[in-house]
Amino acid sequence: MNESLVEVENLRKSYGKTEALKGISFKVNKGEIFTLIGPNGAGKTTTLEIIEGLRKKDGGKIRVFGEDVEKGISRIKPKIGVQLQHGALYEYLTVKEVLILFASFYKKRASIEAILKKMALKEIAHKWTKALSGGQLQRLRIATTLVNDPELLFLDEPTTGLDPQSRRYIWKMIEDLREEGKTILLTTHYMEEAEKLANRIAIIDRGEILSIGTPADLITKYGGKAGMYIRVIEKKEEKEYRINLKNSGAEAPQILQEFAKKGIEVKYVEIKTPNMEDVFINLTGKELRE
Amino acid sequence: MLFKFTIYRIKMFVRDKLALFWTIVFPLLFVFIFCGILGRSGEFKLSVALVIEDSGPIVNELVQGLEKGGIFTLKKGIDFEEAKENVEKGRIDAILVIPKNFSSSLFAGGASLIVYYDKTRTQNAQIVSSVFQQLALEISKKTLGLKKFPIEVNLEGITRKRSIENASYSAFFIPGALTMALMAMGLFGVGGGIPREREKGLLRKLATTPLRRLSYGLAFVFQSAILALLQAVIIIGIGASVFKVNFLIRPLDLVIILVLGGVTFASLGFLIGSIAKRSSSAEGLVNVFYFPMMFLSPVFFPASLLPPIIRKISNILPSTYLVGVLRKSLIIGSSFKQIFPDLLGLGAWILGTAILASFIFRWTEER
Repeated sequence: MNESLVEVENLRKSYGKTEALKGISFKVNKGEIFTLIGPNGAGKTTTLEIIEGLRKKDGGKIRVFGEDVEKGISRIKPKIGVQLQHGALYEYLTVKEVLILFASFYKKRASIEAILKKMALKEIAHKWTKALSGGQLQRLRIATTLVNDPELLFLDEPTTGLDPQSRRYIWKMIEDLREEGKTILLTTHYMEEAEKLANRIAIIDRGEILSIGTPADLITKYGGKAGMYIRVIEKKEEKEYRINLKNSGAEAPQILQEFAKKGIEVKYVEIKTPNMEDVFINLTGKELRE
Repeated sequence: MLFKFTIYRIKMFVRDKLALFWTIVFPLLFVFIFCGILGRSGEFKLSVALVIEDSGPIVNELVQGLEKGGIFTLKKGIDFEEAKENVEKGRIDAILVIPKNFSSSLFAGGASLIVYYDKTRTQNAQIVSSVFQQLALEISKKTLGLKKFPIEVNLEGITRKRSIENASYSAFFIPGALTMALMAMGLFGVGGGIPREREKGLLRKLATTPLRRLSYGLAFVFQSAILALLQAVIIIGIGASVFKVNFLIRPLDLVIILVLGGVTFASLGFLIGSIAKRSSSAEGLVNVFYFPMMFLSPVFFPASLLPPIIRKISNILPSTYLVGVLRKSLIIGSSFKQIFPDLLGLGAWILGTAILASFIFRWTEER
């Protein structure tokens, strides 16, 4: 059995009459990237902030490193790193100064130089954070979570609002952190991000977890069947066929042969395998809004 | 963590032009405007009391010469005791005494007269004596046909009795401007700063670290205390150099006053920043404290100008304690024992606001 660093059991939270979390449960195992994915307002940030000790829960149990969050937060804080979804840093401090300042809050400290290098911040180490671009600032915000060399990281939508290049850059860094052995609880509303990074995914919508599993498991279970899209010239007329595949594409050559036998000229073929997007649509009945 | 946080807070402050403006430049603007208009530094006309104990044509000619010269504002028909009292109160800059037997000893070959001056302003004595010698030399050439005028001018200092009532406006206002500066640091800097950090999400981020709320508060307090010293050096320095105010500096007392003053307003600011959740509401709350304190306390004008009822309110304001104790120390040179009650007043404000703030301050709305 894997060691769980985070255990959430039947967590409930309401804001006034709105039930933000309707009793969710999941575990984050040591060494994995666990991703909560869902649309805005699904309850991802609320979940994270309750685990981080920033919000109070209405019901349920949460343990981090085996400690109850409400009672043991002061013992938990030194071992976690938190990147919140929103929030600026001290604008009149330089990149390096921000890291030194945050490091000074901890007894156990990682090497600032190493963090600067790892997060590609070395060249802008002496820039005021005020002057950073969106991607640079986001890298710095993630870098601040590493100053205490934490075992467990919380990254709340680490790439939201970034351009595709910056996003890929940060993905690489998050993968490197997993390689180092860090456990990461990440939220996103980008399916691609979840598929690329997550060992396991929890799909959350309207305060409920609809399913948890590896990306492959979820796709097999809920992705639906692969489809084949064919455009042909039949009797001098262009026609389109959509065919559901049973064996995720293995029967495709056979289908094409049958067209050939009938003397139909095939102009274009596309096989569409299901992805997390399909899983999401099939589970929630709607597309993931951005 | 506290040491680093304090150092970085000071760094951030010094890099923030707007913060520097409100806490240093803005009070200095007031210094230049008020001391420039109401201070006496602009006109350079010394007031000199003439005490004439002798008579005769030479004496008359000297007096006429002084009147024509127009360099001094002359006060005549005054006896020495009265003149001395005026110097002690800072109302007259110097006294010129033409003693009995002045004329006769002059013809006998050598006369002397005495210039009494305010000890805190030696340069005035030199101006009076050199002007007088110049004048005497002219008269001697013209009237007596002598090449040298055998007069010896003796200088004698009078210790000015220092009191706040007798102080020049510049001396009166500069402690007020310094009070304004410390108020701005605590109220705008700390009181406005905390809600800004809350809005930026910095407090949430800090809440996820082991940083304690006490350390967060103390970093502001230390920042204000240290920067208060810097503000004082600049504002008192400009008062002394540009407006020629002669302050009595008791270094240790002054440091204690400034640190307590800085901490008083930092603590009040922290309380405001704990109550106001948004910077817009903090701004309003800051102004509710800042402007009444500026105008109800004797920052610009003496408390005696305030209506009695308002004076009762004024008397318990932290700004009144601070400006009062600064004036006592800088203008009169009061001893530590004499300023101790005022320091206690500041201490009470610190204690009260800090205790309240410690109950009210939250990192986030829920925690």
